[in-house]
Amino acid sequence: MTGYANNMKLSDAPLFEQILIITFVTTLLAGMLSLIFILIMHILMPRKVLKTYFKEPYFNAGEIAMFTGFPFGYIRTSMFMGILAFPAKGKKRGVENAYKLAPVWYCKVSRYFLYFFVPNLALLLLAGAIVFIYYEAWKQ
Amino acid sequence: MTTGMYYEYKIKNGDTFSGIIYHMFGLVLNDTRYAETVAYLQALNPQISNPDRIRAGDMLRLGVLPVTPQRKPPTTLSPPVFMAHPTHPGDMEGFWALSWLEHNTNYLVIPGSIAAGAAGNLLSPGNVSLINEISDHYADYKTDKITKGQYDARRKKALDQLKENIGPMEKLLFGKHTPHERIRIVRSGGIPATAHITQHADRLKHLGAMSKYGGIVLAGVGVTAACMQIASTTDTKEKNEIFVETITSTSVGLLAGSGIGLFLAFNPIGWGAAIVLAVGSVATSYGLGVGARVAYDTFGKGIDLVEGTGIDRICQ
Repeated sequence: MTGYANNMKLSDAPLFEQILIITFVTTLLAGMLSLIFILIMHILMPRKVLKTYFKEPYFNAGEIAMFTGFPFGYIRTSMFMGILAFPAKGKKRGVENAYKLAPVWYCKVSRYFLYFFVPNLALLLLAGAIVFIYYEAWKQ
Repeated sequence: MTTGMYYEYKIKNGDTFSGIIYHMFGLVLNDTRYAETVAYLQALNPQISNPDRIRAGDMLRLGVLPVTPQRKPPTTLSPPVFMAHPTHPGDMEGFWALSWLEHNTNYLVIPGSIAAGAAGNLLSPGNVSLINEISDHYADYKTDKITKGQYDARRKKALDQLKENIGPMEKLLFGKHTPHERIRIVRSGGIPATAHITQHADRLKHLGAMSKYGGIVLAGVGVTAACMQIASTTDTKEKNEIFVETITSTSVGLLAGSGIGLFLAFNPIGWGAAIVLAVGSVATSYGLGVGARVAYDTFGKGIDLVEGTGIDRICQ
């Protein structure tokens, strides 16, 4: 392990640090693009699904109040993208049939997006945690 | 305040360079330090080529005058004259408040966001409507639509649900009493029988609304403070570090929100677990923001993101 270096070029850093930084930056940028994609899906979310399922007893009053409108409305979209992409996982809430009210393309796009989004988020959090510990807490 | 730091003053209609120097530093034209002060301010404001031609609306940087070898250095750093004498005390307090906010936003925004988010959630219209339900049940009881036993049972059910929903917030909202003790019919006369119920419902409704907008305001404060920091520093490296930290922590916070949403969709959880998740996402976004700043500091100094994205101009 090298000491903490200022003005260091990434190409001069050890391979581990190169991989770490590249992973962190790449997953972060991919995450930012994911947010834009979620906003697009938020606009395209089928109203029928929300009207039928975004109410009690499927969601509690707190969740409905919290995830309606700005600024947390996009979290509701993430929730429904998950429910529409993987209907079987929605059994606990009783929303396993929600996919029937959404266009097939929306469900498919949600599924492919989540195949990318979840591993990317996990990798981002892991790489970010290592970056934080390695550079901020350890190397200093 | 030390030499090298400065205060930005917005030039007003009717201001002159000599007038500003007089008001801020207490120096007049024939003062021996006047020329030195003009030279110092011109160095601090390279955009001003001619001090006799300043424009209203432009920003002027004003700092503590540097100590020259000819002048005896002060034994302790004293505030500049503009802080000590002509500035209105209210303006001074405002300036120091902004300055504190600029450097300590995280202490306000992070716990504030969690508290506001949690309170906004717990004091949602759904919970307030549980209290209002009791008024409706009472009206039904008084008009003989339901019996006394039915009214008591429905009241208990609504309050039990409220108690379960708000969890330990009960102590904060109702003090030593339980919701069952606080939200009850007035029997003493003189005021409407449902006065206590309406009063509590209104109180929780207002607190809930304040919390929801408080969260939005706090988020705005965080971004504004970062913008203020970018605008007030002349060091390009520091500007970029602040930008990288802010953009990373904001993005990670939003992404964590999406991740939590996915988790909540498949696993309905109680308020306690929701708060733990909220705290976790705030801590994660903060940590990753700091990590990104250090990583930029180590490897990314050659990339001027602030200039490239025009953020500096926007913040200015």
